[in-house]
Amino acid sequence: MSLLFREKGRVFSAAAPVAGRAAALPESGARIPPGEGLFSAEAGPIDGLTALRGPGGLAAIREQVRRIERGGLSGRARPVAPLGLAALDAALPGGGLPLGALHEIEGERAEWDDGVTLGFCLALLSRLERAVPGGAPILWISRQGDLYPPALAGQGLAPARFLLVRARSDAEVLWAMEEGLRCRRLCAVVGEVEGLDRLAGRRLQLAAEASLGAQGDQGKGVTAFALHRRFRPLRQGRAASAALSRWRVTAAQSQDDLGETFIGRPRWRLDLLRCRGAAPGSWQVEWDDAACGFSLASALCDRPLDAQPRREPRGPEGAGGELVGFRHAV
Amino acid sequence: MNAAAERGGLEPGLPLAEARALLPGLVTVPHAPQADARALAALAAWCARYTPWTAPDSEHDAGLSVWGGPFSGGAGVLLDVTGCAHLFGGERALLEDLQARLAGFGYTARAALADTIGCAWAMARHAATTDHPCVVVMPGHQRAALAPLPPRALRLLPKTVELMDRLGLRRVEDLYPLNAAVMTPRFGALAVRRLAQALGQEAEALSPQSPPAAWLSRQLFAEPVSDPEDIGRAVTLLLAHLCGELARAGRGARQLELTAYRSDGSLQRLTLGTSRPSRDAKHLRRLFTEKLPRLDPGFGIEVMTLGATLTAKLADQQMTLSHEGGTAGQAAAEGAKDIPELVDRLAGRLGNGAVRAPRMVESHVPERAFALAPAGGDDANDTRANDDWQKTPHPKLRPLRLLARPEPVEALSLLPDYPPAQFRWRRVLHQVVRAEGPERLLGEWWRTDEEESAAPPRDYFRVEDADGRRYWLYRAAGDWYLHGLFG
Repeated sequence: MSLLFREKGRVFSAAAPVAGRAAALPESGARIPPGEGLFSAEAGPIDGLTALRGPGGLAAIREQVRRIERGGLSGRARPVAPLGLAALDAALPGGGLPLGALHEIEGERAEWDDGVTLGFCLALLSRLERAVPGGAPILWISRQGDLYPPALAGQGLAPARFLLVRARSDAEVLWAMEEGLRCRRLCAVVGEVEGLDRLAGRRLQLAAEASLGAQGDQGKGVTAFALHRRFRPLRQGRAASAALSRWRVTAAQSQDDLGETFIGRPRWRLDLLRCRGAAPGSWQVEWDDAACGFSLASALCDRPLDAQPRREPRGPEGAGGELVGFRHAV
Repeated sequence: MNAAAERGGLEPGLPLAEARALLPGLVTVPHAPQADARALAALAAWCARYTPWTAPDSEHDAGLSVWGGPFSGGAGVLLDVTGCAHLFGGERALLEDLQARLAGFGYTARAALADTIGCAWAMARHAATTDHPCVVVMPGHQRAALAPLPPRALRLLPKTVELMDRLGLRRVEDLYPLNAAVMTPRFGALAVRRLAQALGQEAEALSPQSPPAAWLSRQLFAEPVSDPEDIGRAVTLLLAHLCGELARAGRGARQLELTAYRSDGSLQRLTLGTSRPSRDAKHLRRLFTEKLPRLDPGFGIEVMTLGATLTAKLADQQMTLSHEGGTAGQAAAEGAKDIPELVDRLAGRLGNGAVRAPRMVESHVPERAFALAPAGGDDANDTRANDDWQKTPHPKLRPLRLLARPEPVEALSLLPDYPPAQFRWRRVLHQVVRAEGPERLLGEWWRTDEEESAAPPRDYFRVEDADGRRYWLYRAAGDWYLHGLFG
């Protein structure tokens, strides 16, 4: 059973009285109690029982839900970039990272993780390159300007594709991102931001969706990434986000076949904190820049327990096996 | 010295004490030549509302201090109004308009218009009077016009004028019968040249204060405007006109300059650049949208000019013939235009040079291994740049982020040449679990600057801490620095 969150006014833009609440969707034939039913865009509330008995029955509701899960994009399937790892792709709506959408990437701690989040972002970009070949330019907006172009070649991305924009404030970064999303010739827009409030996130998400074009348009859209860089601790929790997905990347110790002391491929723990149309999850992956692919990290099997990292709230690495997809039970 | 002082009997060169004795209520202001020059330059810039060819007099006569000296009769501005007078209702109307506006600013101005610079200069200073401040010399009449004036009207050196005075040459017409062979040994070649220039026998060019734009369109307002909407409309009109002119010439603008002449006599300028030559009025208008709020109309704008200060060749583009057949091609063409337009929009708001593309530099010093070039090169350049990057040495050993300058860290290594066992960066202690290195990088020996040759070699290590984060550290002369972060 999965949990769907509906946002006020987002999914059903035509229906006035949609409340921001959760509805449980039965997997098979379970009754929805009257009064707890879904709302449809056209006709207001659908009574659970009538919906089940009506034409199409459960299938109609499922179709409706599928549409919600695709992020409100009516009529056409949202293009995706498969991440090349079954466990990840299965967890994402549509079987890959949705294109033409806003994705947020954050680190565990402030500046120490700037390299880690950047590494993950570049990994996603090179997967994006697989899905949408053509070498379209990538707009990179930052306040610090410390991206090191010579290293990009090592990530399988041609540095000449990058347009580096130096902004002076977060507001300018966001403005430039929105401008970039209007230009359909770009492949992706990456903005390094200190914070992304709900309104800004929503603007960017809508702009990214608009870049997909109308129905029947074959465009792959422009995908936006907001890379969080915090320079002071966030006081009042994390703002709710309007992005399609939000990832947290945490570094994990690498392993090298050659020996203990060599540095292996980068290894990250990915937490999918939220994703519209998918359940949150957590994976431990290894990124192979030569093969341009993720693989599941054989999780810490040959290390003594006491050397394990302290964070363990809901990580998958407890068991010693290969696996590691993880879903929140509801 | 103003008109009242002149009436009181003062003249330039008079000692201050005597002047005070003559006029007890005299107000004196210290002479500030530089401030004067600045004000004059500003006035010359303002005069560009009449014609782009303007220059302050002092600059024109560099080396020959004419104004400010006793023979000058005041500072001046030269305007070449060839072909401009009809825009203002004729030559006399132009002069009167100019004079009236300057009087409005509080200047006592006299104006003269003639075929030659020399003649106009002389007439303005020696023929125009306070009562008749505007003098127009008809074409070809400068000989007669100059005849009754004193020789100093010819922009001569003070000692030449004195000499002429002693020889009894009191009027310019006295010089007419003398030929160059007689004049040159006595008065110098300059006097001969000045006379010839004033009479139009020798050409004299005006070098304008700021080079005028080759393509310029101008909008005069019936009365001063200050409403942003009106200004926006005027810019649209100017652009439409300018782009038409550019299209006829087969060129596109790389840089535009919008000048607003405000009613208080000051100027406002907006400059914008484009990454590629463009004569798309719509696109350029959008670029101005970001900039226009910075234009302060003050008490109103009287004239606006828009000049293409930098242009480049731009071939005619094939326009689609029909909408049905051309949608795909049109879309592609629009798409191709998109990136430069985006770059322009971003640069318009974030500042020129905010949008850049990395270019490879062949250097093993990490900080110098790339350069940022202005974005918007053509595609041929891009492919070459792509090939260049293939040659980057060890891209995988380079950090994803390079700190602007290496930050010193406290590091502890077990043996002198070993990688650090732990280090403290930004007050946090990191235990090093894995390390690779060293990679020794020396300064570039072919550079001669002191700093470079004195820099100790750096031993770079890639290290991973207990949490799995990776850093790029180096040791130079026994000290440790953190230079970059890996993914």
